[in-house]
Amino acid sequence: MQQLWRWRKLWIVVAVVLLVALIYNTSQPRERLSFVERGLRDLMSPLQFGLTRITQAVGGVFDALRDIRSLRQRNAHLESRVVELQTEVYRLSELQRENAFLREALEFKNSTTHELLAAEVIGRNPMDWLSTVTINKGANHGVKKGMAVVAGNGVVGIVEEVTRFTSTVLLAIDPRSAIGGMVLESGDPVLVEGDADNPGFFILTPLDRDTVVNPGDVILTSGLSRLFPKRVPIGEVVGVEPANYNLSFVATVKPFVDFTHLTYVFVVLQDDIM
Amino acid sequence: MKITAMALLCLLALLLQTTVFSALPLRGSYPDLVTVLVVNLGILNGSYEGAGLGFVAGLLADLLVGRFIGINGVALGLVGFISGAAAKRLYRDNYVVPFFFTIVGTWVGRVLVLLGMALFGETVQWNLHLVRYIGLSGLYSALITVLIYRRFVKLNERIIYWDELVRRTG
Repeated sequence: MQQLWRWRKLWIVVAVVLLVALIYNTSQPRERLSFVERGLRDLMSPLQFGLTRITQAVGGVFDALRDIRSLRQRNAHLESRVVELQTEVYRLSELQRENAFLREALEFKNSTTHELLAAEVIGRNPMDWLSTVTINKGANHGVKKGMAVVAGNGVVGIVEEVTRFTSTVLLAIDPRSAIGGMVLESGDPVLVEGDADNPGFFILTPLDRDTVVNPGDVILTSGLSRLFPKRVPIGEVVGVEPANYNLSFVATVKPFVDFTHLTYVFVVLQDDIM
Repeated sequence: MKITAMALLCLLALLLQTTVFSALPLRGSYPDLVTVLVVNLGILNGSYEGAGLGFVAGLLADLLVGRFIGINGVALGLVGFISGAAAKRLYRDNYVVPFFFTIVGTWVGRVLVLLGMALFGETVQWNLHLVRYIGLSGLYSALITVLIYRRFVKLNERIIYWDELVRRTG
């Protein structure tokens, strides 16, 4: 041992030379790894494999936890986007409805000589949905009590009350309402009133003994009352029954106007109404 | 006993470095756990032990993942030796010594390896390596040192104790 110690400088030189030779030798391109390297790598590979798997699994959990935050943010963003788009959808369907009404209104306006004032339904009678509606035009816009109100596809009612900026319209299907009408097919005069027993429908009574009405007949305004323009559609006969008293029959008329979804109407402006 | 324990520690450090910590990069750099081990054992057990452990750990690293067999052995052997020699007169119980020794040890070790590679004909991109990898890697390793230093001191004491016990009982 002491001898080894004595020669330590020599040993160190030998070791350094061997080491340099080893490094130099392995720095050159090699066909294959040495058996020591292969053995160590093969020995360690199952451990490395296992640890890598564990690391990946743990990393996956952390990734998922990290993702939760960004997913939450993304979810909140998308939810707000859904609300935005839903609002847009509502707006567009509203515009579509308005567009359809305006098309109808344009046709109607072109077909009549009366001056019409467009108005929007802003309220309904909460006690009786099919009795009156409030529109957003009033005295300041030229609306007067008694003026007729029509929609693109038919009669709506009569202005019952007027304020400066709004009016209340008595709907034609209310039992208090009565309109002079005529049968399109024969021209016979009839009276069209709101049907108290059958809400949402008209009841028709003939004004002439000879009047004949059949289901499917179309009833228009007669224009005799001068409130309504002539030949505004009122509805279609859906049933005819024999009547009591002296009159020959009564008929049920289904209105053309959809009173439950009334949104836009026209007030027929007339100068001769006080 | 001690040699076996140290060799196992080296293998564990190598394993962790090539698996767990390869999934934990810090701005593109990875910690050098083997250097952490060598520097800290050098500080605690002196320059000869540091040098021996450094050489063995470096050689294992070369055999397991390296190409120039012996180059890490030499570099880490020197790092272990310098750590032991420089820490001789320093107070080793606070974190400042191992922290800075690990930073400098990592830098020195890596630079020595790169120098050796350049010496044996390998093209080395100095700027990229030095600034990006080595600089941050030293810091990352030093942070790990701070985290494990106390436990490491206790583990070292336990190994020495058992080594002594085994030696005495024969």
